[in-house]
Amino acid sequence: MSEISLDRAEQVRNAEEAKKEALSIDNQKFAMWLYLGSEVVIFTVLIATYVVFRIREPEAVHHVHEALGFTGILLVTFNTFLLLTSSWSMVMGLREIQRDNIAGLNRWFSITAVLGAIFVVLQYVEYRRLGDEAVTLDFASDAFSGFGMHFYAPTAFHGAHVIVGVLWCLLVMNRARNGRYSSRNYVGVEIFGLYWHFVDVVWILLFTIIYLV
Amino acid sequence: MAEEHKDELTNGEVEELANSVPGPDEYPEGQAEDVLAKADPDDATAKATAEALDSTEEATDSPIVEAFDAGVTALEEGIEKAGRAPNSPAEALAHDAHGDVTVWFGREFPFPVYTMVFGLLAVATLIEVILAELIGSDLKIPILLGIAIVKAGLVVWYYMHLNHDSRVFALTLALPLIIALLSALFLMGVDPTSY
Repeated sequence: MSEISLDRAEQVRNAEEAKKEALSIDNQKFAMWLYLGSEVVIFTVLIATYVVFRIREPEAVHHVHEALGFTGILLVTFNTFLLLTSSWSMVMGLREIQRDNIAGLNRWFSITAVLGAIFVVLQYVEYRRLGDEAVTLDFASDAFSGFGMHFYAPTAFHGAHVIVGVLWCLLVMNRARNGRYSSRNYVGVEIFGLYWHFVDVVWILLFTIIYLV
Repeated sequence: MAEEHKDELTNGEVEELANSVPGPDEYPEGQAEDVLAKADPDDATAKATAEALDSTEEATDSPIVEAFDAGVTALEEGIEKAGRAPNSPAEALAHDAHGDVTVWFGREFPFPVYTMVFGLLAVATLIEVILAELIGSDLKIPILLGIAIVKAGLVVWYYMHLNHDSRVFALTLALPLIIALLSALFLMGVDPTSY
């Protein structure tokens, strides 16, 4: 009888611990979503500012697109594919840690980090090209009615997020190597994933609004 | 008395005794009837047992029990076919993520759902670039924006797991987006020289 009581008490204790753990995971994810909510406001304002400029100065945007040329659009399209692929490799890495495969997680995440780094390098190449076409941050020296500051603000802010993401990715890989994650504890990986996918979502919108429309 | 009897049996004997009892599928059909036929016809216990046996058989042959049996069998087969049912959203997520096959619109694709979504995103991006180069009319803007929103939705829904996670998470994204969009629309509608 006493053994049965002990078992019951242990079961209750285990259930309570599992409940606390689940609640903690939900709280961490909720905190990340709240942070992303604040990012939504910043990016919406930046994109809306560009849209207002696009509506008021359609000719200037048209001239920039012409200056970029087809090769410029190809470069940005390639960059978009890099980011889409990095999101895919990120989520495949998450899939591996759910299977307790740390080597698999690091393999996929190294692809994510490399693709993110290449994205930033290619964005720098693009900035150099635009700089040569006199697309500048300074309104007075900008050849396209102030396109520069409306363009650089959202894209550079996004680029900064990609740099942070690459560093975060390396940190997650290091932690995974040190045995911090498993199939029972991967919330840290999931939270980083939320950030990275959000950065991807922002680029999907920026790519269409700035380069294609 | 029971405890004394238990003390007299060794563990091996208990196991042997347990194994000697036939399982539910091990009784030959008609054995109960045979035993009852050999019993004394005046024996009240045998009579009651025979009546109970008849009633039970009658009940198991009823359409309700047969329908229930068919339902349970179908459910068991369904669970076996689909794999074990998930107990929580996290388990559903893990189950979904582990699947190497994706079933969309009744068709089975030999790729994980994440790869399927990646394929869709890549194709949509190509379509976007081609349309941007080909279409010259005013229709271009709503079409391209529509495709971009669908692409963003796919990432949020599948990669950020809003299809499994709490709807509260979706609200934390949707509310600031709505407020920021309304504010932006307001600014767009106001003459820049008036503020």
